[in-house]
Amino acid sequence: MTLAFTICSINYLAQARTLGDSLRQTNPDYQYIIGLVDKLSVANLPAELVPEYPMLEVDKIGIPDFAAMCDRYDITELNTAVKPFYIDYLYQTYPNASEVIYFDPDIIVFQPLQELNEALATHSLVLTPHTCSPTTDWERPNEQHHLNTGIFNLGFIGLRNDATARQFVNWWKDRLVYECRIDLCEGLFVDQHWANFAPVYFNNVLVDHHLGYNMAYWNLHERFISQNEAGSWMVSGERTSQHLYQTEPLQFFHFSGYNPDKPEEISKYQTRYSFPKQANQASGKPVRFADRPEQQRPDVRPLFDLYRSRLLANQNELYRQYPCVYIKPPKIFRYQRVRRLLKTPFNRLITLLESR
Amino acid sequence: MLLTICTLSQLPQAIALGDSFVRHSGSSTSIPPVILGLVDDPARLPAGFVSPYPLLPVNELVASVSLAELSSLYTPTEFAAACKPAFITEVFRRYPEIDKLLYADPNICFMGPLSTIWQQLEESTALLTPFITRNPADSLWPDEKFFQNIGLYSSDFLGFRRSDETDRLLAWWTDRVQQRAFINYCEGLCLDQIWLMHVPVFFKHVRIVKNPGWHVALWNLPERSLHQTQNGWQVTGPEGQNQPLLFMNVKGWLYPDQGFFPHQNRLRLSDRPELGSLLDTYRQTLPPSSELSGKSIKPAYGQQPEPVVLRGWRYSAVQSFRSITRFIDQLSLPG
Repeated sequence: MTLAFTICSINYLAQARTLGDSLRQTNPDYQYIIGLVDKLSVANLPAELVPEYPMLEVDKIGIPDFAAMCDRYDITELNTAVKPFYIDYLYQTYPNASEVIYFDPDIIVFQPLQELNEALATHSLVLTPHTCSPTTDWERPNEQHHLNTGIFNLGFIGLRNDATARQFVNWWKDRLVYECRIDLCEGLFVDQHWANFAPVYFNNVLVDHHLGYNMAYWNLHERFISQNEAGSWMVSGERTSQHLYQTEPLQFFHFSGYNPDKPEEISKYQTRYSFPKQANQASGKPVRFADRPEQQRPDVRPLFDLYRSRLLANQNELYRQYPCVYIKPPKIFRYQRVRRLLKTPFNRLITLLESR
Repeated sequence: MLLTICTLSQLPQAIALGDSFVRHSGSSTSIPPVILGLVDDPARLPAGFVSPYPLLPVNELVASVSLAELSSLYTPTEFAAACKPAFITEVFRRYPEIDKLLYADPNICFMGPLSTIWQQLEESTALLTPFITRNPADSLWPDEKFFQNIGLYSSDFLGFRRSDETDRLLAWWTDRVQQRAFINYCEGLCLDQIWLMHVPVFFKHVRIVKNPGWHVALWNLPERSLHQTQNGWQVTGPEGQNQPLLFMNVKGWLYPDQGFFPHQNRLRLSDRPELGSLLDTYRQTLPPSSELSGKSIKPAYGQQPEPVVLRGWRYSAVQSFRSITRFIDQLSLPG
């Protein structure tokens, strides 16, 4: 049996349901579970908002000293830190699960994941790189960002239930108890940066270069979408693919940073591409890099429109109003001037000692 | 063929490296077997100095205008890193008959037959060696976060086989490091080295070699044990037992202030007496009396100062002051 799961709070249940619906349609043999970083008892969802997929609340999976973890982390850090704990819990609770696959909630699966299933029959871990080839400019995100935040995108990971994968999960859990922070200067970026070690520490790791896996704003420069006669979405490595044999079926698309309220924006995290706009073409020289004619991506627009309509059909407007019980007010460090003043003598001494 | 890159003061070590390469490459070596890339001014070589291997000065491959510009941007270490892929490209260009090229830092010394390396290159376009191959599972330094800062693969040893894929790799790497070889962890930069993180993903047939006999060094000795046998040194580590020691890197081991780990505290050399005799073996390979030995000549390129390595009370004091300023930054104060 293959388990597929996601992790989110109630405000993202429209996404999690959309992912679940797509899995039910394309991979009906997978059992799908929603890991919920929230409390149903507090939210008290009306019946029509209770998803038909099983939900597993984060306080029920036996994370040691979970309260302290909630204290330490902000909501992004917490949602990512619990990932290996969920995987471990699923390993323990479903011993007949031969594979566990994690997807971020903002993913749609478009195909039966036959090649992934085959890969997991022989590999302990399957990871997808943000990009399989160099980025073409220094817009956001570029190769340097990936150096700081992780080569692989951890919106997806496939794991076999074997000794190597369990070793990896145990090591990952240990790291994330205290070090799932975002602190780039210290080499930390949530759960994702740690995955760089996977192919170094472990031998049975597949870095999958399939262009149809985990397509997202970070790899649009090397992937182009078309629809074949049968209506399937196809990915090609070239913008204008005259050779149909060079295309591969799109397996899953990751709509990271997309907001259905801003359907004109590909993602809030990127500056490289845009959807074509009537206004642009009329108003002469584009201001933003992303608005240049060669940066416009009409090919992916139908996918985003499809995603938007599915989110709206899955009650996104209602779910997003539920605040997560684990959310804390952001830490504000007051008295910055006083702090600077207090630090001055120490900083001077450091400079003095470090001078030749 | 072997390429190394050195400054004038590193020349004795670079020559020792070249000799060790020639000693262990058997009859399969190219002519010349070794190229010494010089990130320094050859005009300042001592009068009468004759190099056993051809010198390739950086001004023969980088135009003087950009040379001056790069020199003003970088420290000597960063400058050498920014030029490394250009050196490798130039050696492939100048010697069209060579098929396989190793790059090694002057701190490296070959200790065993190189046939295994050539064999690996038959099946790969590039070879990389990770700093560590297992989770250290302790609270010592360098920790895993720091390895993320500097990149998980060492750029002190690289192997390349001539191919179109290698040409693409070198063109990409040259482009990235010329302007982005700074050490700036907050920006995700660390010399030419951190860029190697992309290499196994972007390019085909790149092999990550974890054999414990490859690239034995200060940073991986805690996960490896060495013993001397009739057939030379053998190494046992997480990824193999009793493997012949092929090459070692004495960076930070011969001179503790060198390299990324001047404050490492995982390896205590006093607990590992066998390492003393290994290092003695290495010292004996250095040229006995050279015009350059023991001299610290300021490199001609890299105008920015190298960071100072603090020791003793100065180091402890700076550490304490930093923790105080961190405390001041993070202290929660009521509004």
